[in-house]
Amino acid sequence: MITFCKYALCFAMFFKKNNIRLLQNQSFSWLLAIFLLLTSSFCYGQETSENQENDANKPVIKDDFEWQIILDLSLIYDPTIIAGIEQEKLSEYLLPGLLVDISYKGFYLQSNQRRSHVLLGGTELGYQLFIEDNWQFDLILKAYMQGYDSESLIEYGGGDPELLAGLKEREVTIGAAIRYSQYFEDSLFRIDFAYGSSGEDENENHVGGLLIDSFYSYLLPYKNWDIYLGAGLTYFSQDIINYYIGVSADEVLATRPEYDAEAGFRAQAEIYAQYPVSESWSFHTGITHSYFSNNVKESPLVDTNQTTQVTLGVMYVF
Amino acid sequence: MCFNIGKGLAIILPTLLYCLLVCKQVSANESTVAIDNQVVFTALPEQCVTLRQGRNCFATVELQWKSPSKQSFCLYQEGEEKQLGCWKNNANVQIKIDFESNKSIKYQLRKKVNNKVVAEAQVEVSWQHKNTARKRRWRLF
Repeated sequence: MITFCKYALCFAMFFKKNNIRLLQNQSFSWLLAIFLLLTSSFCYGQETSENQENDANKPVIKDDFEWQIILDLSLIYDPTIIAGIEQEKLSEYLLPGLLVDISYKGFYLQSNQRRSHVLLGGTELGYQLFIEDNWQFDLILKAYMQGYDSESLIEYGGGDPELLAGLKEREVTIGAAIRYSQYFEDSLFRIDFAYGSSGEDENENHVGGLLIDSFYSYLLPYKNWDIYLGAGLTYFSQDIINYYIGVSADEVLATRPEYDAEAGFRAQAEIYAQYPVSESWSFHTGITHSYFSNNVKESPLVDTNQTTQVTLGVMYVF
Repeated sequence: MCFNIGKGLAIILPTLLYCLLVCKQVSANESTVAIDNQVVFTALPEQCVTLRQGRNCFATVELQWKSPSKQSFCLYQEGEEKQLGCWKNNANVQIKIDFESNKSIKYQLRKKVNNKVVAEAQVEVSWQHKNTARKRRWRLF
């Protein structure tokens, strides 16, 4: 997930009227409706097939009720590709997270512990369509890209007013996806084919497009440490990239020409380690390097096409 | 609002880090079961924590026994016949062992002459996450 919204700034954006309005956004509602419709029909399918749960050929059944809540308190060095944003104050390095995992009869809410974001920003709503021993298909609804708001960035996020002033708010991209996951002995590969729905463009037309998001994670246990090596590749369609780093006619300044962005991709490499300190507390640290396609750099809003994120923190398991 | 949250977190994070260290101290309490009141036998730390249920837990465990008079004892892991060590005419012995197990282990101090258990100490293995099928997958997520 690309993150433009970060640190305490995300709190500000989360509570902003414009973001709450997103929940009422027509396109989001449309995605949610499709997701619920699909999951409802499959839910019926599951209820009628409950008698098959003891079938020896179906050793993996849909999840029963389970839950877990983790409080994550991290320090994060998180440069963005957007120009003119620097972390300066201590509060800008703090990244609290509430990681919620709940499952019931194939439905689930889950958080990616290593790639979570403020509050519930990294949480996925999903439904398990097909489950086998080593692979499964899921329907997913999640935020694939966080938005950013120039006013909040300037006021709270160390944003440079000269570079960011006058930009319209970019809202979060919610995507409905079908996910394929393949499990190996100590590793996982997953790929999401998603339709992402962002906000509206300068003409108040709905912006949406294809995202293909893949990630491979390999677990390397060493004594009491869990060490994860990860690599990801994500494709973003032109509409979505343009929504975030394009410059529309009404945003043009002398230093900021109009710009239409092309489709792009992001490659990531990651190492993450976690160590248990007690039954409730664990320490974690990680480095993620992201490389965006070269054309991204052509945007007047973009500073660089490579970023390295470093995290260090503790988690409390309830 | 952001500043308040930031300042609040700046206070909360160090506080929780302190709590974390205190938790570690608590989990490092000694485990002692002295069957013979005269002998004190301890294992430190008493608890070894893994991230997932079923994973081997690794620790360097310090076993120590103290006796008011010099005695001869052998150290055993409960359920195992092979001794971990024997000492002749000692009143205070301290050894370090490499602990590696996915289950709690009890250590026994036995008299060398008659193999009678004099004292026991346990190292408990615990975990943060149960190893359900789903969480087996979560760990990779």
